[in-house]
Amino acid sequence: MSDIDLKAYLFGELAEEERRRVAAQLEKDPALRAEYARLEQTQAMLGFVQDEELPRRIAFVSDKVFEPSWWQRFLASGPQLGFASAALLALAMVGHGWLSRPVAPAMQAAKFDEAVVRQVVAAEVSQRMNDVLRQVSDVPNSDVKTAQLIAVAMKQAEKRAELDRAADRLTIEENFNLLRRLISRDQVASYQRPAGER
Amino acid sequence: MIFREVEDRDLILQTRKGKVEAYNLLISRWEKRIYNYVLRLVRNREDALDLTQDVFMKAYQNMNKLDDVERFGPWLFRIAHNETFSLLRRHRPDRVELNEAIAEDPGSSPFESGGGRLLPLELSVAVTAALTRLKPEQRETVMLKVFEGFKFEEIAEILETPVSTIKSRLYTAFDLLKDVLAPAGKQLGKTV
Repeated sequence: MSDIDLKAYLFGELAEEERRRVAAQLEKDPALRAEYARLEQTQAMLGFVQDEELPRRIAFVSDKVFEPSWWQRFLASGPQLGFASAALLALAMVGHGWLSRPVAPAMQAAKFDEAVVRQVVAAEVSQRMNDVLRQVSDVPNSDVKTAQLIAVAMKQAEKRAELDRAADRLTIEENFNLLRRLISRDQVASYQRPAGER
Repeated sequence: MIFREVEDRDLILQTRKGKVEAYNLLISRWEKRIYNYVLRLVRNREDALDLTQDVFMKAYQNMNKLDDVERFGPWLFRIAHNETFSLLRRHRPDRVELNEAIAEDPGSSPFESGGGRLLPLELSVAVTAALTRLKPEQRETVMLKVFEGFKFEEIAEILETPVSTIKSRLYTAFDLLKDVLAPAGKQLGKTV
C-alpha cells in the first residue's frame, strides 16, 4: 500500500498507466478502498466551502496614466518595430540620394551678382536709347514735333527699363531665397550625419 | 460569419494594445477567484479587496512581461501570492475576522458544538474553520489544488517552490483535514 500514491490518484495527477495500476489495486484491497473513501469524503467536504462575492466590482477606467505609452506598445510589437526600421532605412537612403544629387542649372543662376545684372540692364537701356536717338537724327527736317516724339520715346524707354529692372530684382531675390534654403538644408543635413561623414 | 467565445488570450492581446475595456472583461472573469483566494489567506475582507485591486493593477502594468499568454492563470495567481504574502509580512498574522468564533479555539473540533445535522452553509463555515488550522503554506497549497484545480507543476510555478515540496505540503495538509473533518464526514453521510 505504501507505494500507492492514493492522493495523486485522487487529484488526477497520475499518468494513465499508473492510474490503471492504482485502480486495479483498489479493486483488490478493501483497506485501501476505505482509505480512498475517506480521502474522497474530505475532498467532497472541501467542496462545500462557498466563495464570497466581491463587495464591489473591480474595473479600470481608460486613464492615460495607466495606459502603456506609444513606445511601450511599439516596442512590444515585433512586426511594427521591423517595419519601422525598414521604413527608416528607406527614408535615410532617399534622403542621402536627395542631398547628394547634382545641383540643377536653374539654381546656379542664383549665383549672379545684383550689380552685374544692373550693369547688363543699364547697357541694354543705353543701347535702346542710342537706337532711338540715331533714328531721330536720321530724320532730315527735325522740328518741335519731332523733338516731342523723341522725348516721349525716351520716357517710354526709361519706363520700360525701369520695369525690366524691377522684374530682374524680383528674379534675383527669388534666386537668393532659393540659395539660402539650399544652404540651410545642407547645414541641417550635415548636423544629422555622423561626425565621421561630415 | 463564425462566432466563438472570446478567449483570455484575445483579451490579453487587446489589453497589451491599451484596450482597457478588454482588460475589464478579463478582470470580470478572474476577480472572484482571486478575491476568494486572497480572502482565505488574509481572512479580512477589506484587505482582500484592496489586494485584489493591487493584483489586477500589477498584472496590467506587467502584461507585456507575460511570456506565454496561455499561462495567464498561474501567472495571475503568482502575483496574488506575492502581493498577499508581502502584506502578511508587513502585518501581523493574528488578525482574524472571518469565522473567528470557531477558529479561536484550535483544540476543539468545529463539529462538536452542534451535535445535529450540518447544513451546507454550516458545513462551509466548519470546513473553513478547519482550513484555518493549517499552516498558511499548507492552506494555500490546498486552495490552489482543490479550489482552483491547478496541477502540481503549476502550483510549484505560482509559489516558486519545488514540486516535491508542494506534494509534501498538500499531502500533510490533507491528512490533517481528513482527521479534523472525519466527524463531519459522518454527518455529511446523513445530510447528503
